[in-house]
Amino acid sequence: MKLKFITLLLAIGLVAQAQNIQVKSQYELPINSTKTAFYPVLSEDGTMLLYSTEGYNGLYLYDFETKEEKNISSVQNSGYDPVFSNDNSKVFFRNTSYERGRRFDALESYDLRTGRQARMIKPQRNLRTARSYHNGAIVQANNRLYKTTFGRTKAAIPVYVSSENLKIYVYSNGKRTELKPIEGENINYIWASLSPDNSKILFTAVGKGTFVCDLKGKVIAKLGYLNAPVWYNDEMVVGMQDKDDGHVITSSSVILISLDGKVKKQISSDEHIAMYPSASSKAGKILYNTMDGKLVVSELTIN
Amino acid sequence: MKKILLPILLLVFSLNLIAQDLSGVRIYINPGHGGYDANDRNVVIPPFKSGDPNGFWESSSNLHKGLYLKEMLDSHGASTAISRVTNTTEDDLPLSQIVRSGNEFNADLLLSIHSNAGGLANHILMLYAGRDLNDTKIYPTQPSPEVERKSRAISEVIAKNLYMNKLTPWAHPYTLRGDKTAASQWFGWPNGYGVLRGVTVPTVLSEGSMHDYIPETYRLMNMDYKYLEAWNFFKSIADYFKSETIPHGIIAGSVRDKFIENPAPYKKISNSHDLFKPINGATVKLIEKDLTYTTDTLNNGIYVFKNLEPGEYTLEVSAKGYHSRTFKMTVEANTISYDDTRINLIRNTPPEVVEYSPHALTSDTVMLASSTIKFKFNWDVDAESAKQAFSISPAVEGKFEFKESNFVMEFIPNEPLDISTVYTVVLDKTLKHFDGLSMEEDFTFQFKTTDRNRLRLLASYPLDNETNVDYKKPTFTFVFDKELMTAELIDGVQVYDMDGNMLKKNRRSLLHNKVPAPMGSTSFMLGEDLVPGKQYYVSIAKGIKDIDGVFLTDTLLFSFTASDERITDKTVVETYETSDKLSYDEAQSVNVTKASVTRSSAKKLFGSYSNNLKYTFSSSEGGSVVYKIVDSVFEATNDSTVGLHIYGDMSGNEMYLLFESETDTKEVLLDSIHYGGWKFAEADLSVLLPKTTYRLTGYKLVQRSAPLSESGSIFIDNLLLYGEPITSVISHKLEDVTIYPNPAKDIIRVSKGPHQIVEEMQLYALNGKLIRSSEYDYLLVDDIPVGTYLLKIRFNEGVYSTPVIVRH
Repeated sequence: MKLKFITLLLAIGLVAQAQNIQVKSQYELPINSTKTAFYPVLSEDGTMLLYSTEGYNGLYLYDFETKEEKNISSVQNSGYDPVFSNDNSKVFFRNTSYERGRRFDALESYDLRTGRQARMIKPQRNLRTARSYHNGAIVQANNRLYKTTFGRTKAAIPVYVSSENLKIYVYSNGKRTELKPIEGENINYIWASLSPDNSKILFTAVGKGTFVCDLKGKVIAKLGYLNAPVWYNDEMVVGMQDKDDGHVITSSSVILISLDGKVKKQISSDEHIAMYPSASSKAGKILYNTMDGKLVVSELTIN
Repeated sequence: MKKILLPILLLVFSLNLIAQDLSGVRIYINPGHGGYDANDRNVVIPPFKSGDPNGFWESSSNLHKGLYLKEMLDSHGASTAISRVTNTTEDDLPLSQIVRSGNEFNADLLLSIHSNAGGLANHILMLYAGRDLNDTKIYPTQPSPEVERKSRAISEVIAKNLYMNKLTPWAHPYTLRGDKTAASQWFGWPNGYGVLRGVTVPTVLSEGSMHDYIPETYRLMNMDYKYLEAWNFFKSIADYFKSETIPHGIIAGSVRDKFIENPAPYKKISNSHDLFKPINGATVKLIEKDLTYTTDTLNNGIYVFKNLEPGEYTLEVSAKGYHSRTFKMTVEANTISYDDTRINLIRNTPPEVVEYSPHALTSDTVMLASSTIKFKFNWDVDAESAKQAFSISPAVEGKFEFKESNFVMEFIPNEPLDISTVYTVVLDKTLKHFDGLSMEEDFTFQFKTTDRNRLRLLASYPLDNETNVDYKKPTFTFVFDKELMTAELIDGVQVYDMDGNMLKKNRRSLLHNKVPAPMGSTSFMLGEDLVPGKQYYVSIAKGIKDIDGVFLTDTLLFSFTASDERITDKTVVETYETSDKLSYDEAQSVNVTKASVTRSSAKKLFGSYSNNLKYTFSSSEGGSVVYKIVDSVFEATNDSTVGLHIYGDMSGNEMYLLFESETDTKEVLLDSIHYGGWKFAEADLSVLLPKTTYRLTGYKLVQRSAPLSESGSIFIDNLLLYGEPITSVISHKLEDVTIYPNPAKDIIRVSKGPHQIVEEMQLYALNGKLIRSSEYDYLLVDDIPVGTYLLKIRFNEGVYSTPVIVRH
């Protein structure tokens, strides 16, 4: 597959003060199955990529080793926050339907080896973002925490973070706790996610900025204006700094930023309106989609 | 931080829990904008100054509606989230956060609340995530078909309910647009609105009304008016999610004067209640509920009674200086009952004339013959009785206009009054006002008209049917018999092509009243070149006034054809690049005060210079000025033709070529200089004696009786000598065509050459719309509105176009 190198020169100058971070290469990933691609989700090891359309309609897989694309599902909202299973053998995604105008979401699974699809959770109101667990997933919906696996398991239930009615809840050791990390009334939280080591929560307080707190809600890092943030590793996150004029997005850059504030590096090319990044520190990759639906891969070296 | 309205809203709804079942329905509310900043919309209305947070801000208005809606939904079991509850810059959220919030909330509907800017085009615009129904274009990014379908369905329900609002006049019905299609067509955005991109939930952006339509701006300052919009959102959501109907109803109205117009200078939608004066501080009592509502001080007259059980109610409206009014209204469940509540001023004295014009001090005082006759009264008068009470002698036909809410009556004669005539005007005492009282006695006055009653055009360039208007940014000049008021001239004089497209004027070239007093003039250069061979016309609008207020009584139209006046394929015998080729010959001139020849680079057609011939005669007639050629080597015979490029001065004076042979002298007419631009003029020399060689010895300008003949300044360039005259071989195929009458009242006819056959006549409005066509050589216009039109006639040998005026 011919990879389009956008610029290697970008590496020049992208040297952090505390750590030496270089964009080794940056290229557009040629996508043939769909004309445009959005919302990339990298597997933890960075060997596979999930993506969707802008309306989250359909879910597609790109395998970096075979360079093959696969349509996993075409159902509605299947591209919204899909997750890989712990062993990268399955993908869990949602399937939206409506009844009397009310929205219901089922959780589906797709076996990447056999291509078999299975319904993990029947349509529910308020299905939250799932987390991989054993060979299945845990997910909050309809005021309860669902555990769904293939076969029984006694595996311990990991910490689970959920955004419920735009508030942050932590499920840990059988307890459900609401976090209020930011002082003030009527604060909404979005993009909450657990760090790879399960010790920290990354979130955006709407209108306030993006932060990291511990599992008790104590803020340990203020990252400023950073949208759609995701973890790069336990110490760094990637997000987008998008600007709009109230009608349309006018610019956006993808930024890598460390919790201690010593690293703040633009990863995206200035030629792009770069949005919705995903990252794999194991593979040293950051992906983002451009405003017009191109997927751009940045390969990093961090010393 | 701005005040939070929730405490107020809680009070409104705390006692109003009803059986409405919206349990579990999830609505994410996004009151658009935020922060009283540059990304907000501040419409400045008195008494608020620009930037005053207490004035109208879209962010504030959207927030109030959003908070009301949230409270209504919460009170009826729905699950809601709202993107902001205050109004700070921090609340002006990034689009990506709004979209994500709606998605993460798992909303059944994301409603983004806005109002729009569009002034008099006050209407509802619903933008839903997706495409127009008939748009089959595939956009780079699209919502899922299900989200698109549901977004469209909800937007239609909301639009229908909002459109039921009768407190605002709608300029036209609501509009539903898919944001992808609309943004692409309106702004060229490839992917729609940011708040509708990437949504996983049905999403609607509501532009509820035009916040810069000033009467609406004032309404949007009223909390209860915003409550009504929120209630309509609430009802729409209840409708869409098929909940039970709302068991209560609402009474809403606006109190306005029955007759008196709203005197505020802002524009109002025609034929709407907004034209009438809103009553501030009016008291509206709902008798059965013992409730009283006092209208606010912000010029909207709005009153609202909420949460009423179905049934009949009595309302009593009163305001200082007005007759009280009591009326019944019926309240239905799930409905807002609207009333356009008009009250009538107490008029307790008889009507009388407080001002009038023309106000002659004595019957000998002369007044303009173009006057309108105007009365101002102490009360607003009944129009029909005022018309019946009016008479003028000698009789004059005209029309009445009532202004300032019938406090002013004008009689506008159809034609200017006769000159030097004494008129007697009477308003007899039958004239009455709206409370029925009549004048106590007749009102009579007289005036005498001047000896001039209309503005007259004395000279123009181009003249009608001028065929030699040089195409290169020509300058047009129009001279009238009186110095002009300049205010209306910029728009009042325009040049069009025959498709009705207005040509740009070079605004810096505008010159007014540059002719000797008492005459007046206007001239301008076009800002663009014309196309040689193409037909155009100039329109001078009826109503242009002179400094006395005397006006042009009819629109004047001059059609002309552009041409390239530069003749380059003939022998040039003099270029006039120097100033030593001609000199003023005082001895041969008559009645000349002064004259000169100079070289000029300001106006030239070839090379770097032309020669400028200036002259001033000492009287209005009988003058002639001679410019002799120095060392003439120019020789011609009677089979020669002489051509000269002349930039005319519109004087109407005639230019002659002076020839001498050894035995003879001749003066040959070259041209009558009526024009004000470059023209190529040529003279056939057949009047010279045969077989005789002549020398051109000079030019002679002979004064003719014309308004601008006393002084002038012409330019000449490239003098040519050749054989066959050029103009004799130019063919004007349709030169025999004339249209009559023009202006036309009932019918337009065509006069044409014997071999010309009319295939079709088409009458177009100036916007290009075809009004009427005919296959005959006439076209009926008796039922066509008065105005200026373009007539195109297709003949067997070509197309003829001309502007025509319809006047009944």
